[in-house]
Amino acid sequence: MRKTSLDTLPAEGGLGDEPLLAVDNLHVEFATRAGVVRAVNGVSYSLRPGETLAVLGESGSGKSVTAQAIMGILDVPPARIPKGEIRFRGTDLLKLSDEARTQVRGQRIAMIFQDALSALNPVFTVGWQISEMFRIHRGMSRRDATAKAVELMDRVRIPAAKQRVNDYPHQFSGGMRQRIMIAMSIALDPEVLIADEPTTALDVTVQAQIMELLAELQRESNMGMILITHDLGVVADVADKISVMYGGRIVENAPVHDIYQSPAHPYTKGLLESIPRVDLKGQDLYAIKGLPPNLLDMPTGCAFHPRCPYRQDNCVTDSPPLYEINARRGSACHYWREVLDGDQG
Amino acid sequence: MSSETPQAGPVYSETLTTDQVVTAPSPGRRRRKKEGKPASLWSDAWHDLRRRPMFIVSIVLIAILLVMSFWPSLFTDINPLDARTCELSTARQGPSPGHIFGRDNQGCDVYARTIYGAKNSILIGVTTTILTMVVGGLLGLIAGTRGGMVDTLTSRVTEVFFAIPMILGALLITATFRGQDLGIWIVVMALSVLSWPMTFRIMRAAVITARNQDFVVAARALGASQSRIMFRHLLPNALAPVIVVATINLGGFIAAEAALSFLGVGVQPPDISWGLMIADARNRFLEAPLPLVFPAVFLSITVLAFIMMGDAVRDAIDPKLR
Amino acid sequence: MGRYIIRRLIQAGPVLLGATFFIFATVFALPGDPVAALAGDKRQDPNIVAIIREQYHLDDPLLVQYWYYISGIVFHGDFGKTFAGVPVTQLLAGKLQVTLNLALVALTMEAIIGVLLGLWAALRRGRATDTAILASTLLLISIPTLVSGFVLQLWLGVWLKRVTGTEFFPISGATQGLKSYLLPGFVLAGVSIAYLTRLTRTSLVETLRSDYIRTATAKGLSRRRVIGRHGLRNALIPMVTYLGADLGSLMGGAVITETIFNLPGIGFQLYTGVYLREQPVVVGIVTILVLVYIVANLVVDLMYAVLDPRIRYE
Repeated sequence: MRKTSLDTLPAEGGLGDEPLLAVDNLHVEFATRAGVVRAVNGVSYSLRPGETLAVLGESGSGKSVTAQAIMGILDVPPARIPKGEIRFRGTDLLKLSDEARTQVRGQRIAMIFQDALSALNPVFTVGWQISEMFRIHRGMSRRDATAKAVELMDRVRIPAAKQRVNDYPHQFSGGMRQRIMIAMSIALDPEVLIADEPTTALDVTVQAQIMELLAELQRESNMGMILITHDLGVVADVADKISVMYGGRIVENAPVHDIYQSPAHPYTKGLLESIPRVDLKGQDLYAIKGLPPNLLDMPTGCAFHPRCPYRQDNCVTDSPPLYEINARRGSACHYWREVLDGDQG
Repeated sequence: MSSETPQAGPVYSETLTTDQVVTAPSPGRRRRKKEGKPASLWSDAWHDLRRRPMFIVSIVLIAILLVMSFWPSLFTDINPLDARTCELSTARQGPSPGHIFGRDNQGCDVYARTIYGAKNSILIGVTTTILTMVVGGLLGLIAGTRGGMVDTLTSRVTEVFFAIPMILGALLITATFRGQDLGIWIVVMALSVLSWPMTFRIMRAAVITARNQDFVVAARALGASQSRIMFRHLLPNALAPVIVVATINLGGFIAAEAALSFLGVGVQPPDISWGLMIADARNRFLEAPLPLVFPAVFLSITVLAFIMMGDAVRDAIDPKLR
Repeated sequence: MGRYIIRRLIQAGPVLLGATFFIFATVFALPGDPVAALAGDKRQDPNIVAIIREQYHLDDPLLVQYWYYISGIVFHGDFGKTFAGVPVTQLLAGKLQVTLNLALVALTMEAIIGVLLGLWAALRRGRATDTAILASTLLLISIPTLVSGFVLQLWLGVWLKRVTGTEFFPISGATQGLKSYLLPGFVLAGVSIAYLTRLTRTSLVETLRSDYIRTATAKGLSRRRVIGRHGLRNALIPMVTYLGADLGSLMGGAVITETIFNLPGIGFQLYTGVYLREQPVVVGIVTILVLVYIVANLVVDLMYAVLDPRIRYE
């Protein structure tokens, strides 16, 4: 990593045309015993203030690795970023010095993890863990920082916050723990919040509450949010736009209502059809046939071709670029028109 | 790490405290053979072991030591058990042709005695290990399978033995039975009485882990008899950690035998043991260190060989522990 | 927490009784007549012999003798008298001090060297330093005290003194304060140092892989704080518990070290006690060691509860 001085840290304020965060042609690979795993192969997406981008994909699609690359929390090695840029307010984070990167992390770009029980430190009280943000980054006294922690716990609606500030993570329910995780991440009013499957480990009823809380916090603060999920149902109400990932690439980009109405990639289409729907009660649920691709041994051409009902001969040999459908949509399928029209090839 | 991040390397966890060695072998690592038949844990481990230099070195050392204990005459023409080979007048003489390690306080050949000393170390180490594996393993298997009162009772008994310091306890036991002319078997008995609880604990923990796995629950639901479940399902799955710990303990038993013989309650003269040789050489050690150094080096290498083998087998059986 | 301690205490009772009974029964079966041994070659007055036998309950059945013994300890803190009439507690007080000093020096060395080596290896995992440290733990585990004791005695004690003209490490006796304990302390600690190094390394490596460490990094904390505060605090739990439990093992395992370095500790005393068939001394020493083991384990359980809130609120 090239060293840059601290003053190149992106300033806050007006952005003009520049997006808040732009991932550009990002590649991430992992050195493993079995060989090099190309987890992310040229991913690009962007985010504006107040906007929510949902990144959709099954495990292994590269969606979390992309997020970890943005946060700078990949273990290097075995991870490596051979190509690409991550621009935050116009500054490429990948070119920043380690210290400058640490200044962005947690304070400007924050992250929520999937399993709050393992993501919170078991030996420190939740109050200590939340207030650490203020003590370390803002130099507050222990007392003031704890008061701030209680305030935040109130804000994420943890009942009796004042009494519970000295409890340990294992003493909370799953939903409450995720709220603590959220409180910790929004402590310093970050401009970007990355939520990596924030509701996967939770009960369905609690899932809705957490998503609602996130949407509300976002409205209050105008932060940009990246919501990573494998569950199309979760994103419909909160996301503005969706990027669908498969085999380390983005296969479809679209505003949220477009995608639900008419998907332009067979993989997206398959995902939508595999959501149980009340009006289709009694019919067989659709499932995408086959298995997710092996990252060590990716299919030639389009990574999705072994599972694709629209497959033609050139899909096996030619990797499709991200075709532009209109200014706000793209699909990495040679036959996106057929998919849009609904003709089963 | 998130579900998506490829696992970069083996998860590390290795320690030799008995409680922690008990990690069931991870099923995820089992490779599949070409015919699609799942490779067994052991053939998988063997495949892995053959590539480990540490394992190969330890196997070679152990093989040499075994030959040395059964056929010591292959290594030396002198029979040190024959008192006529010693000459008091040459006591503590340095290395010379025919006596490459020199002579000890009695003027006996140190090299020949060191070679002949291997037998008792190996014999005591191996028999103690087998005894603790059989007794501790069987009791652990029963306690783990049955649970309830049987388990509570045997577990309490093991705690009693854990509380008694090994060398001191063995010192007491061997001293008690010294008059009965039991030879080296008294050492085997003393060490086994005090160390079967280690094997017991590991076997029991491994059995309890295996007991709750689906295939055992299914076997039980299908009406398999208790003894069938115990020997066909639980034992094979619990055996790996027991064997690992037993191998490492074997090195420990050899060291303990030397310590007891050194204290005069282990192997008795005229029989030969490295511990005894060290005790004999001790008084003149500062002026003539060689008669002590040679058995000490052989002792250390023997212990090292078994501990190295145990380490290697553990790593191969359970990569999580590497 | 209170319930946890009480449960632990109740569990310790039977262990103490069982272990002392086992020792008592073994000593009871020791061959030879202690009273005869006491007199050596002299002719004994049968009346005196009878009095001694009566005084020490030597003609009572095993269980009765055990009862007299254990009730003496429990109700009067009385570990009995030697055949020469000296209270065992008085005889052992000084020896216990020597063994305790030795074990404490060993424990301190173990803690410092083991933890530092373990941390170093963990932070350099997979590199040459790590491999070298792991290889040396293997060596350390494999060299019996019997060997390391004599070798270090010759090398650091005799040879170094001869070469430099100064005695850095006394090789015999406990007369020079802390200095006398340095070499034997290291010899005794050897195997434990290796185990603690491995444990520290494993424990830190495992901790650094956990999700909450990733969270701490994502919070924008420095690497130093992530490892030093979030990582170490968690990795500490198994390390501290291992160290606590090891005090008992070190005291119980000191006999060889004490013999090599001529330290008048309880291990050495037990050795002579066995030969003289001094039942009260032998049983007293082992009882004390069992007590140390049990107390050390109790302390470990408490430390565990203090260090890990998940246990505390169980």
